[in-house]
Amino acid sequence: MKGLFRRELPFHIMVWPGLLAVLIFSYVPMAGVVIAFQKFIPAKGVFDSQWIGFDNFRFLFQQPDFTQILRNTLVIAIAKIVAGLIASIGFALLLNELGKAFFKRTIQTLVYLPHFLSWIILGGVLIDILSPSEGIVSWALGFLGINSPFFLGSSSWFPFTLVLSDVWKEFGFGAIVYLAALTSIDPTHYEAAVIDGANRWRQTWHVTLPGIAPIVVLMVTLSLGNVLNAGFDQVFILLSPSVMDTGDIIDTWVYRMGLVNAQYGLATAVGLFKSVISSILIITSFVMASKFANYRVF
Amino acid sequence: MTNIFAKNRMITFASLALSISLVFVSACSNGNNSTSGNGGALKASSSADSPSSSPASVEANPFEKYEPAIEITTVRSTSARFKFLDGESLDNNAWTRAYENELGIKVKNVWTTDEAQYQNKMNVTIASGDLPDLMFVSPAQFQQLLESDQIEDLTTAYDQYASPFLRKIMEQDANGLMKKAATVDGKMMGITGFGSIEQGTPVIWLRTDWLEQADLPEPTSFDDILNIAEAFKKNHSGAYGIGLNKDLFGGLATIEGIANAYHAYPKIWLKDDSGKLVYGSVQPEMKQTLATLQDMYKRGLIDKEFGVKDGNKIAEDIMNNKIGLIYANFWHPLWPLQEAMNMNSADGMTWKPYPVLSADDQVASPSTTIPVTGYYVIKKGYKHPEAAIKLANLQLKNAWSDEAQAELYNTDKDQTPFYLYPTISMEPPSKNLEAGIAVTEAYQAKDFSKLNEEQKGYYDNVLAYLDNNDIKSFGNALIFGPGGSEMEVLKKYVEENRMKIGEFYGAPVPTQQMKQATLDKLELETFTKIIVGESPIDEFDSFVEKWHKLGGDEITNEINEWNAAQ
Repeated sequence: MKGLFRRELPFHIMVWPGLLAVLIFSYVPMAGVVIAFQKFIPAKGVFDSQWIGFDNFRFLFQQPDFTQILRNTLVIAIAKIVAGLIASIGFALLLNELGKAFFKRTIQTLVYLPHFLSWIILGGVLIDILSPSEGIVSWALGFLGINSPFFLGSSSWFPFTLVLSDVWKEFGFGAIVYLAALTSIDPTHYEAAVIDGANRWRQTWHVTLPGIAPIVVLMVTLSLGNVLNAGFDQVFILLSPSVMDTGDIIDTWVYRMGLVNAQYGLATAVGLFKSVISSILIITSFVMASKFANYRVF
Repeated sequence: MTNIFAKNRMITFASLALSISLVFVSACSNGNNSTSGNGGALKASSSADSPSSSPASVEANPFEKYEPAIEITTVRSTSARFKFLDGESLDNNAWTRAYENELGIKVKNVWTTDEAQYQNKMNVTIASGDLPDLMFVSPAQFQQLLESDQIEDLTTAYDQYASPFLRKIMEQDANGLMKKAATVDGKMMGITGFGSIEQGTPVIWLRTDWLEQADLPEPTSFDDILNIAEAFKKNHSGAYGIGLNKDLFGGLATIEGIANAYHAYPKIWLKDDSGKLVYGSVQPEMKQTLATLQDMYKRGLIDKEFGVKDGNKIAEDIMNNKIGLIYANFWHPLWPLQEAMNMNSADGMTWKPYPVLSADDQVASPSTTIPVTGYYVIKKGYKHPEAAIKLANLQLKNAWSDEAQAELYNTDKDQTPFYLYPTISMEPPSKNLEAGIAVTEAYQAKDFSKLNEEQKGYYDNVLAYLDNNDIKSFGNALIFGPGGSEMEVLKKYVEENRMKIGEFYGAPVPTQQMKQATLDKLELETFTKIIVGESPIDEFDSFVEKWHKLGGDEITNEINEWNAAQ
């Protein structure tokens, strides 16, 4: 027993500062969610603000545009997750087929570069290049004889534009994980497949995809926590009054409520609502993942 | 010598935020009288409504020095505009030395933070309960501090120590609204941070080189404006008739001035015929405004893509010769017109301001609001509340009075912004208008001997631009010089008493706190859809109905209760 303790002591010393930091910065502040049940007034603080039970939640659900906002959030977030996943995996597979390492690296770097650009900058760029009257996109479409839609100003095109631009910005970065997974596949599996007479397509289907399946499942599982996160900065920058009905999401609503109108209690209630939904989804997907893909995170 | 105008771009955002927040400022709510009433230990003289005649206290020397010196703690917001002489800082500069030497007050800054973070940090400070002795708070924070009885009554301190200059600003300028805004239940609870009423009005900016090219006379009615817009669009490829910002209100290329043509006053609270305060955006005149805008959009006078263009995009369009007509504010020559001139003056670009014009035979009234930006307040229990009054007295004396020493306290020749340093910083609301008049007179008489240091700076700009064609001086020249926005527009607004001034300046009433965001979204969305023709003009009627149902009625009632309590 004593020997065990001595052996583990260095590990304990190493892990405790980290745990303490997590405790102080992640768990203790969670107590702050109590203001979701208060009419929170900063001058009175957490202890003297009036307790109002679930009134903040009731107010949220009674908003005339709540169902619209929730629907927009779900549509945009889910479309982003699905499209992002397909684009990243597809790109990783294609890149993996390339022979020349230099060529491969260059493309990879170029493609994940947009990830590091801020939406503040990209927002301005998008408004210019997507302009129906003088944008380069409308010029290109016009070349093909297509009349350019008003991508950022039409309610029906706006969610599509959001998803597409988000995928364009993030798929390169998302592919890094899959590229790493691809390199970890045992080359002997490919050799065996070749001996069995498998062509490129067969190899991909029977070796590559099963090889990265656990990572794909993991990424899907993790991303399910984001179904209520449609991406605040992107939507906030690109949103305009004419596309409110399909573009306004929970986060932009919270911004107007919480920051512009200083309703911290209400904003916290929305945050808590989002966290609860996300936790439920993550737990469900963990259970599903371990059941169907035999993949366990813990 | 650009003083308050140095923050061009910031003003774009600030004025937007301000125009949103200003609509709901409040000083008093009826529910809490008992708590805040008990706390005010000092006498609340019933005659406080006519303060100058208040007999309750003896007047003392406004600049009386503390012996020994006292200390006052405060907090400050800073920004990239803050620059210091070598070895100086916010804790050690001409102003802090003046405070200590002349008044015996040592100012200690407990914390400083960037202005973008100031409100949040102030909220945290208030929540922590660890307040500094003196602080500048927003109207909403002022309301909270009142409710929790955390700030000191300044009535006696003000009555005893306020200098004549401070009294003039608080009680006479802007109809005495500065004092009124800080007075709660007859007690003066702070010193109001205040802007200028006339500076919030819309001003028409027109490209006069295009006007001459089109061979049209100067506009005298809103119909002329429409004709000019039509001509601009026709004569210049890629140009729009008139600039329009997606936010519709508050700042560059907005619709208030167009609404004023139809005697509509969106976004502000005005008395109707029965004396009740009503919200301008839901009045019938607004429908006519939207119908006109819809028609303008249909005729292509408005950019088809205005729905995605914010102020910065509008600025780009102006610089790229796409816009020659906008409704904006008096200060926009500094930005973006200055930059547009830098790029295009060689091709003949010139601009001129005009007052808002009417669509019928009645004179158009420009709409504006009472610009309460916040309050300087003293923590409850601080021993020398009159120190705040003295700080304000000294700042006004050193910065803006006849004895002012601009070189020392305003800006030096290297443009070091001393005017940003004072702990309490006020300026006469009509300072810029007076500067405009004085500078123009001086220019016409070629005699600048009567000008103060600040005005002399503008005078130099006017001289440089008008006589020596120095384009870099265009901005200030077109504000303060002959033909500038102060003389040509704001002076007329004030002298002819034309302004419609929004009468609500309190903190947001309870229903506004909960529902204003929803109503604002509804308003902006409906107006935009009507303008682009996605919704018929009659959609306005159902908007008005919805607005009332979704909280507008309650807000109207609460604001009228607030008004009754004033």
